[in-house]
Amino acid sequence: MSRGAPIAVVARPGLGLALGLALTLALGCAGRPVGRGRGDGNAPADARITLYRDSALVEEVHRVAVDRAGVAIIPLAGDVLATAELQVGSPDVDVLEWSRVPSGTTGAEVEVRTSAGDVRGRALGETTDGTQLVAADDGVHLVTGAVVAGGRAASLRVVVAGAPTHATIELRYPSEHLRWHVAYTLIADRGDRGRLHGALALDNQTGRVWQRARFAIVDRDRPIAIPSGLPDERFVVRVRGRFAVTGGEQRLDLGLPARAIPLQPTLVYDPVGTSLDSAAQMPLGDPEYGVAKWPARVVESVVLDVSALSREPLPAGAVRMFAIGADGSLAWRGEGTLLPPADDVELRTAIAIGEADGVTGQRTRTMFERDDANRRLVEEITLRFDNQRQHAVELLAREHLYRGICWTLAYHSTGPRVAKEGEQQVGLGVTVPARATATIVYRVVYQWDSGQCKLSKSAP
Amino acid sequence: MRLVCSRAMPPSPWLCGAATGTALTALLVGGHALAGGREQQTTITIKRAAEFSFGGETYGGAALGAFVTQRRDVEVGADGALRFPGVASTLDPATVELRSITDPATRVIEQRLVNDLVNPEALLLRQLGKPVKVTLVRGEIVGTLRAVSTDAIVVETADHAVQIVQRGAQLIDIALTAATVDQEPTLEWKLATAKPGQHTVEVSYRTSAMSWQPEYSAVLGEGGAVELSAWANVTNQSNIDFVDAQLTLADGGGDGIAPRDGAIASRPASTKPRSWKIARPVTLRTGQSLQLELAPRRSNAKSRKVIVAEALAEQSGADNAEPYAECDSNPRNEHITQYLELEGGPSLPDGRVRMLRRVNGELTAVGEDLLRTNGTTGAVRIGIGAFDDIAISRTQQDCQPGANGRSLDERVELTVANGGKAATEVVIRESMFRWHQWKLLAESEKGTQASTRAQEWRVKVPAGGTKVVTYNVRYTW
Repeated sequence: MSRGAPIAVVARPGLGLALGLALTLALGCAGRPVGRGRGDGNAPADARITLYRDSALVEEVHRVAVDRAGVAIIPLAGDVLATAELQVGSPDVDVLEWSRVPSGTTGAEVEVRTSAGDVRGRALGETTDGTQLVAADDGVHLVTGAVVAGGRAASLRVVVAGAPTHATIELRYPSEHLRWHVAYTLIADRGDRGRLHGALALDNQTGRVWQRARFAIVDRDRPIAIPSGLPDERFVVRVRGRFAVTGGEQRLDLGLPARAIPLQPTLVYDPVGTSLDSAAQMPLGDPEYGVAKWPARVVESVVLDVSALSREPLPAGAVRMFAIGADGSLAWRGEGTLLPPADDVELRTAIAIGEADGVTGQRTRTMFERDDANRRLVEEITLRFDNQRQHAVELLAREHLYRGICWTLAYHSTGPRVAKEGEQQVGLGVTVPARATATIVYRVVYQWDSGQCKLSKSAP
Repeated sequence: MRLVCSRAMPPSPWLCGAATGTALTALLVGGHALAGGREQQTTITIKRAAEFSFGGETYGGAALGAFVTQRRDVEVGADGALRFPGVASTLDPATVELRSITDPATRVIEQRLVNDLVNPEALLLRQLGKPVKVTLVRGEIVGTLRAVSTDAIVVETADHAVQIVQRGAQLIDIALTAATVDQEPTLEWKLATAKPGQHTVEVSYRTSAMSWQPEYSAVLGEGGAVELSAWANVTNQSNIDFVDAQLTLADGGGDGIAPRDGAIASRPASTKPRSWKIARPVTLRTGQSLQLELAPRRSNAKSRKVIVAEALAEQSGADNAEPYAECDSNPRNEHITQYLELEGGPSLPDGRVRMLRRVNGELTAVGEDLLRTNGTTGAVRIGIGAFDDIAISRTQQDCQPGANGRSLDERVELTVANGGKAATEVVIRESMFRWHQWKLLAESEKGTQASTRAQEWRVKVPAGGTKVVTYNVRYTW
């Protein structure tokens, strides 16, 4: 794929441009310099970057010349200078010492330019009012209102063991100036199949540029404390390819497999949404929280099983669905969201594509009990569905365990038709017979001690 | 007198000196001076307090300054005057020692620290009565500088006219043609010596503006392999560059702080001092931090998870100024921690570790913690959270203070219970919290000394069962 070109992976003539436009619009990058494209696929990466929600972990690789004293100088700029957490190492030589040499004129040869002439010498320093002290051949000068030329650039000075002529130096540092988000486009090329494309919008404000950067995404905050038990890291999604990255905004292709995946039409009842979610360990104890007259609307949707494309949970992002029209053009169908990855989450999402006629839902809180002695809170929700259609419908009720993050589904009436879809979200499936009603009842237990916080799929 | 700047003056490319007709006495780089170019030898020992954790918080690690020794050939005047420029501006004058190797009988009669670094006002004041050329927007004034204030300077010209020049935008340049830049921190002495002339002297002092701290980087690889890098982060804020110094980094021991300004008196050495000598000359530039390899990087080091059971807070009493001589002293703080342990290796200080992990080639962050070291075996441990199945209890079975009030014998029983479903190997770690001089008289299991203040026993605890370790210890002080 050439640099700067929109992504085009659909075989139909004329469709590539439309898809590229769709992705561009989806990421909000239209009219900006987007898409630097893949770098040289065979050359080693000059940076390995792992993107977290709150920051990035950058590992730069520099091949540098080493002088006879074992000293290598690497020019620095941007975040490498700013961070106190810089680590320097090498895979092929022993690094004995390293230090940052800050930029500046002090101590360096300078030319101080004034309206009355120039003063050449070595800068001794600068006062807060801008007076330059310069040691010149004719004495010491105190110069005001001058422009100083010269000085040294910031650099990293690395001393290595042995007498190599060259060395590979790796710099590792965190940066909060590499912001990103992901968006997906689903192209339904037939009624029951579709292709998912992912794009990573990157805003590089680090002051660094890379020619062949490799990316991985871990869709959660970068950990500060070492997690208990040192569990495996399971949320690493590698972005295929290497990219030239400059400053500012650009878009990278996530490189998802191009194969079509099945789309399962279904009806979705999701009256609450994520707006009430409280991501706290201590659950919200207000008995009236989440008790309201919720909309009865049920929407036509397609359920997308992402596990066919990635074993790891993909980063969260909006999923826009388009269908291919008879003339090959794209028609917008609807929008859903891939939620942030969480433990034992089903890799699927539902995309709403229209209102479902003849089917309505009702959500009622039917029990609430707070047990402070045992530090738990129990809530029961009853969902009732009315199907006026002439045929039975399959319906997915999406429920949000919004009071807190430590919850257990103690009971649900849907048998095996339950899936954890997100950190605080479950999907409960039910068949509603023709011209009849069906009911889902579930009971959730919130705890505020570390306890069993995982979804229980089996009824007690 | 002219200012001379030359790249040819080793070892620094930034050397500037003032040719005075006698000797190069001043070296200055960017507002701070260089020490080393004229030194025969500079040795520096930088101290820090040992680091330890208590109740989950990390304490210690305080910077305790540095002890600097500079050996140099100098010229002692016939009147016994000696100038020694290029010392740390932050030195403690009370700690200065001068020793003449040429004439060991040399005595110091007077000592003064001249610590007047370059700044425009001080420079102007020192040039009163000396030539000056002032460049204004309109023309120049050449003469002798007669007075200086923040608002104006006064110049007497060749025709004895006095000109008051306002300091403002119209004043472009003040050229002080007789100025030198030898205003680096300088020690000046009046010596009593029978041999004026050339001496080789050794000047030593304590300075507060140098510090170091250990920092570690651990990268977890496949199969539990760990790449461990150990660094010393050395900071120099002494306003002097030390070039090619012999550097030793030390921690532990007494804090070496003199009782003054309301501070408490110096504490005795409650931990055994340790030091790490850097094998090659090191240049420490002021205002910069330098990362020095503290030990060669360990690649593919094998690690394993260990469970450490402690009945007392880790390193309890490590910071106490006097022994816990009361038998009922009992700083209990049971906690069970899981660690990633790397065996063997050089003795290293405790310090912060940043842990990363490679997952299918991608670098991910794991987190930070205190890396704990075993000074006896060289093993290092990185905490990876609590472990719920194990519990520990501690019972004092006997306690007998010595008759002379200078010792205490104690018998302690440690019981580890395993509530899990599998037999588990547990390291019982006991802090000898009463005092740093202790000796084990007996132990029911063969243990190992893990530090100057801790003993460890590695035991296997059956599922649902317990394991008991007892020991007798004698503290003396």
